[in-house]
Amino acid sequence: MSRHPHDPVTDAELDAYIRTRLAIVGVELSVLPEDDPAAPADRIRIYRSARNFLRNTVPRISGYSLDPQDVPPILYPAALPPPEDAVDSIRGRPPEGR
Amino acid sequence: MTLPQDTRVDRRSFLQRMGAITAATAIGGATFPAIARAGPGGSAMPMSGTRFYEGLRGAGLLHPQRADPTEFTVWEAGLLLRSGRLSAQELTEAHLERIAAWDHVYRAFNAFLPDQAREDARRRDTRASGGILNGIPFVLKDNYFTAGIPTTANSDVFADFIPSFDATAVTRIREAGGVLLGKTQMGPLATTRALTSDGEITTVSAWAPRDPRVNPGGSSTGTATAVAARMAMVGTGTQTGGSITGPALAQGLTGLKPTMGRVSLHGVIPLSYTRDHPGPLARNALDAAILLQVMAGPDPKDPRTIGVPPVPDLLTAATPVERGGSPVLRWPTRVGVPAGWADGESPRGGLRRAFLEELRGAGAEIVGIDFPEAWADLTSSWFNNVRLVERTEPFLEHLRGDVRKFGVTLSSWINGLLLSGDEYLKGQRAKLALLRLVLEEVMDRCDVVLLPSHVPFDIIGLPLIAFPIGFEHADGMQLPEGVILGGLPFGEERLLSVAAAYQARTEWHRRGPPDPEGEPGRPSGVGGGESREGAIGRGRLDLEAVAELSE
Repeated sequence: MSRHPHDPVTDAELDAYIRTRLAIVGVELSVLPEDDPAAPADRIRIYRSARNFLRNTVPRISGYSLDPQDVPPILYPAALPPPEDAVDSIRGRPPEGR
Repeated sequence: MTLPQDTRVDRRSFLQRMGAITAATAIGGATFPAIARAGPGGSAMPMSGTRFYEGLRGAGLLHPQRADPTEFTVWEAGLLLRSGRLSAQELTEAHLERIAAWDHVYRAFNAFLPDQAREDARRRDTRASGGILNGIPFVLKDNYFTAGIPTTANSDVFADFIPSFDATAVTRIREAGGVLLGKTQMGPLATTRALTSDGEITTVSAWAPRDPRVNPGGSSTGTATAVAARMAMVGTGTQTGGSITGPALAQGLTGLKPTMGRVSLHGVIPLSYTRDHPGPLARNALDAAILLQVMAGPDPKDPRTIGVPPVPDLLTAATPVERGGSPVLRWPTRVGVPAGWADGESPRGGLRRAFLEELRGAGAEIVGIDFPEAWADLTSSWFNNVRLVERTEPFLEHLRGDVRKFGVTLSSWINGLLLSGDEYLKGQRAKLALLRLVLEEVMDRCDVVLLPSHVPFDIIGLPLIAFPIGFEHADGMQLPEGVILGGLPFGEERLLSVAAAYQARTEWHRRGPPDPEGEPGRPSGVGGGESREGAIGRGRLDLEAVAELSE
């Protein structure tokens, strides 16, 4: 049966999504206990955290609107090729390899 | 008067360059706008320790008198070492004794290296002058590569990792004469306060050593506790989400998170490629400046450091100046204060108002700031979660190998696999929108701004400094209270100058925690001869609690 886009996503749907995503990239949670609050991590808590993340973080980022003509993405504040002599002048010595 | 470098960084060009990076990568190169305007000053700092210490003497900062060498600051010890009134071996031995006496309580060290430190100190004593850190005992957060010494990031993922080379920052500190005492405890892979992978709390605050509930700060906890407890004179941290400023605030230290690109990340275990920042934790602004001056600069092995303005004279910036016999700001400075920041009848409100009065007395212009409307969304936790993708990518092989190695931090690594490419891209664009907002609608009215938290400046790579302004009393404990100041791109000089002027007028940064109650013991870290025996049971944090604290 098809679902309406505005129907709330169920836990079962999210769990299937998470399980599939992890399988695609080869991450295996079966080595964790199913439900052991004393363990550092168990599957129940990992899935609960992932569901919360998908329900709360993803729709908010996805729904935020930015002008496509504005703010092209950045990677680093300083991803530039070395300008001529920059390293020399800053350190007062020739760069490596010169 | 030579103006600080932040006055020569053109904000519009800085923003344009941010936006040009992706396009330039795609087309194989482009002409970038110069972000530093031509102008006076901005020359590279002479790294000669001799010249620096002669300058301090010339400024009237003379040999201090203290019985315990661990009470000296870096610059005080530097003066004494150069005058021959203190040896590197004496200074190192005094710190080793404190580590041996108290680290079973603090558990600040992950690896304790007494033999290497003694040998380093002996060699430092044979040098007539050496670098600016010659003979100064320091510590490294355990995510900095150290050749031949385990580098674990306190994680099972790196349990057996021994790098073959030093991180660039480590090489520079060693070349400047620093004496490495050890590697410090941290949150696993720099995600939270110092814990083992299974959540056991390790390091405690130097101000509350018997109460592990008191958060000692972010993941650079071990370095902060070591410096605050006088087990090291200075140390390195890294900040992705508050991990230098947080421990500085919690432990009464001066912590400086530089602008992205100021310090090389080569040889630092990554948490986020776009948000990791190496920087100093110290007992005052001048000590922080000394370490940053050494660590900073372009590194061909880290493209983030190339093409940025040259490292200015941070030491002069952090050296107090006086007018009419009273310490004042080195440069005219407008200090932005967000609405409500110093309001309220709480002790914190009172300390903040007193802080502002002191800055006014030092010549600052206090300017009210209202954050723009888009601020709340762009600084929200959900946009901040974009960082999780960057965390997960470099660790994917380890996640495929055995997720149990991530212990109580596992949730955030898994969640990092669940954002799509378009959402990650939007997060990067949102960072630029946030940067524009900060530069054009906040920093247009001020030179530095007081911030309620490290967010958003560490998200967008702008510099931060944290330092103490007093104490609060809670549950019978006296805990440090501090402030975070944000600066313009490459505005480290300005931030240091404000902290230095404030510290020259006040004594809060000189207050150190008392020694713990109880008997001195032996250290807990590697090489200490005694592992965890005698350590205090201090509880665990579970998966949910770690997620709450996650950086």
